[in-house]
Amino acid sequence: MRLLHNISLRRKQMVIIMLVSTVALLFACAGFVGYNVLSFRREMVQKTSVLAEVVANTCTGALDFNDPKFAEQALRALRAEPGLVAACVYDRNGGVFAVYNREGAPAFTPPPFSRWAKQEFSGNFLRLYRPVQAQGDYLGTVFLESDLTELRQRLMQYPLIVSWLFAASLLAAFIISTRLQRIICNPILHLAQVARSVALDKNYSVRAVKQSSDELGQLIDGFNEMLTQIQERDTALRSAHDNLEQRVRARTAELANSLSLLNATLEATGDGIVAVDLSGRIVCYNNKFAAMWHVPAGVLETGSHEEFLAYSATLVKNSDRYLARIKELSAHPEAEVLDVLELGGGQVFERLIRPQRTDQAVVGRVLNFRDITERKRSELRLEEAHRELVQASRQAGMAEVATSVLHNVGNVLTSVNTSASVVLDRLKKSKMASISLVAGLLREHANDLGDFMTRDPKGQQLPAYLDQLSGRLADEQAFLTSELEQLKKHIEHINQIVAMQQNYARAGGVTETVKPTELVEDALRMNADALARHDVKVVREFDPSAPDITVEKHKVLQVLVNLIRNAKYACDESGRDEKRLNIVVARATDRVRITVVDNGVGIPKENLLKIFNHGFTTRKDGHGFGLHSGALAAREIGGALVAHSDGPGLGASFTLELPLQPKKQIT
Amino acid sequence: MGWRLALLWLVGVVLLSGLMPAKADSQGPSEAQLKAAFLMSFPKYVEWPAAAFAQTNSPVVLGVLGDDNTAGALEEMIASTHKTVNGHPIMVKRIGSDDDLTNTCHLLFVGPSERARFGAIVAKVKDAHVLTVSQSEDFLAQGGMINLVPKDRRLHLEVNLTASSQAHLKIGSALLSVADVVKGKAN
Repeated sequence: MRLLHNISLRRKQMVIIMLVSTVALLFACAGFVGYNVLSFRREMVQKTSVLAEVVANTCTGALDFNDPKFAEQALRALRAEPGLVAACVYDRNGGVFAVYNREGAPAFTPPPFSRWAKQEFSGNFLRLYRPVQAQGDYLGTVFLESDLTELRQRLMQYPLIVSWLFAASLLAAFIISTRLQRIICNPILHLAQVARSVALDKNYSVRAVKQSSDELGQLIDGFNEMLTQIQERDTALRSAHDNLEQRVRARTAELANSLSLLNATLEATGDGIVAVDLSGRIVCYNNKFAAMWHVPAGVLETGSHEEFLAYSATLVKNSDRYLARIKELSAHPEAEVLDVLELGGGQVFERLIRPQRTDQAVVGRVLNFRDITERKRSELRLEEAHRELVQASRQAGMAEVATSVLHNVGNVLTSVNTSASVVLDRLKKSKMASISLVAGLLREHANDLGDFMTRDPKGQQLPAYLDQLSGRLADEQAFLTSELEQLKKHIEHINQIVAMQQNYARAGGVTETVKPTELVEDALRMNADALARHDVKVVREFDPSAPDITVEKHKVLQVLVNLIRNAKYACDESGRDEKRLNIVVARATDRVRITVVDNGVGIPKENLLKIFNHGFTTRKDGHGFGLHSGALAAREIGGALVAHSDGPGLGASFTLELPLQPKKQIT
Repeated sequence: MGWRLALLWLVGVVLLSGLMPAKADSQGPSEAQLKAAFLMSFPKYVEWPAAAFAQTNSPVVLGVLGDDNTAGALEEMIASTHKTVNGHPIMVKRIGSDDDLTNTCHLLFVGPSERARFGAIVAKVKDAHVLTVSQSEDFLAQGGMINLVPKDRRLHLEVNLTASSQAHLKIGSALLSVADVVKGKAN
């Protein structure tokens, strides 16, 4: 079969046709010969068995009535059959009844007896047995032996016949196929030629010519169709290719642009950036990175993150934790990390590690190092400044308290002064002198006191005068006593005020458990005169269930004094007739809320957040840290200070929230 | 080789039977048995008119007159073979008196002892479609149909076709082929 593959189609077809013809002829001849032999044999058997039947029929009487002579006579009639060489008749017991042997034929000895009909071809002979029956009675068997020479002679002729037949058929097949194969071959050869020219010239515009409308015609149609499609696709491909090239160029330019942008960005940033892929290779970095870590050129040349880690670990203070962190990260590449590295040289780097993703998949990490040494320093400085400021504000708060205390003390001192003047005045105008006058008079008349009293008109008037004087003096005493009582009260007040100041001016950090309302009252008391002076009406809305709070008293008081004073200023500035200040003490779930509400000038929205800033004030003589320090103090004790206002002219409210217990200080 | 032995045996048997006829009875078939076999074979070659049988399976009756040996051999043979001919079973009937002759059998074997009454017996069954058989020279002359003739150690047949055709019996060619057809008196 392999042989067939490499010869031309024309020959292939020829070979196939001839092969097929030969095989078909072989089969036909074999069938013909076989059939002939078989049919000849059948014919022989039939002919012989007819003869046997005739003999059997003839011999029934002879067998039945035991007449072998007649049987032999009947057998002799077989002389007419030239092929029949021998015959015999057996009786029912298998004994030979009669025998026939053709003249000139070899001597015949009857073969073994058979009860049943049968025939066998052995050698050149056909041997045939037929039972003899009369009315169903088995009488005996007839045996015939035929010569097959005729068949042999006929068979000898077959090879010649067959070879003639073969030669003639193959010749005819050759001639016919030579003519007919053009029908199939030519279109195929034509198609092959066109295909070859297409393949060589890449010219898809050629077309094969259709010669018939059978499968070959369809094949050529299909081929042409295919060529058309290829042509179209070729054109489309060419244009797509051009288009693609353009797009690639554009995309390359874009890429170059974004790459340069990326590089520029990388270099423009103040941070050190390095990108590492999952295998631990440094993909890219900026100069800042190399500079801030002072990475030796050798380390960067290796491109290994491992190398860099080994190098950087020598710089970092806590290198074990630094390396462990990186190792931990390699197990969780999607994690984001923001931490701070302290370097031995006092530098502080903020490190931000973010995963690099491509289509959601993590392909690497980008490490961003920011030198925050300066920031840390500033933070430290700022913290210090803040602490100082807090100190200052506290002192300022204490100053405010002191101011109000002094003010109050001053007020009371005025009253003391007044009382003292009145007493002095009264004492100056005292009737005490009249007593000494009476005493002189009495001393003059010491010898004649009785006469004087009874006869002298002056003496007679004296008791009445004394009576009158004692009444005046009693009055005077009562007045002075009351005035001194007043004075004592004033002095006690001063005492109280000073004691209060001492009470609040104590050092911080000491907490006490107090009633919130008491604190409010103290704060109000400290501002009482100012509020009264400016005619501000104070409304107290105290929730009686408000629980005790444990706080640093002076801080809360300082805040409250400040709030009340601010409210007073706000009311004063509004110029309203009815100035009102509501103080609400209410309980929240775990805290107490003290709200100072005024109907003063209010706060514009834009200022609501700024009012807690340090240095912000709307008053000409304000320092701008009253509310700021208030908010700080509130936060220090674990509370909050919140401002609210509906707008300018609509008043404002400040709520101080205080925890029931001081917050745990973390030191 | 078997056939040679058989041939030898056959020759031996023939010689012995010739030398010792007295012992033939025990060695080969007896004359009565031979006769019985012939009588059993005749119905195969003879065609009776349909009227001779009441039904298609009515028996073929073989009557035996005056030969008890043959009748006995027949009875033995029938008992051992249960032979039928054309669907008819074969029966033997011993005929004691002449009165039994009428319409009782299909084949009548008359023993040679009845030679004197051949004519009368044949006449009695003339119209009864009976094949008459005997073993006597003058049987056919008396109107009998088949005569068994012992010759060359076997039985030859003589047939009187005139008599048989008068009785509307057809004797088959196979039988005729081995028989001598003789002219005899019609019965």
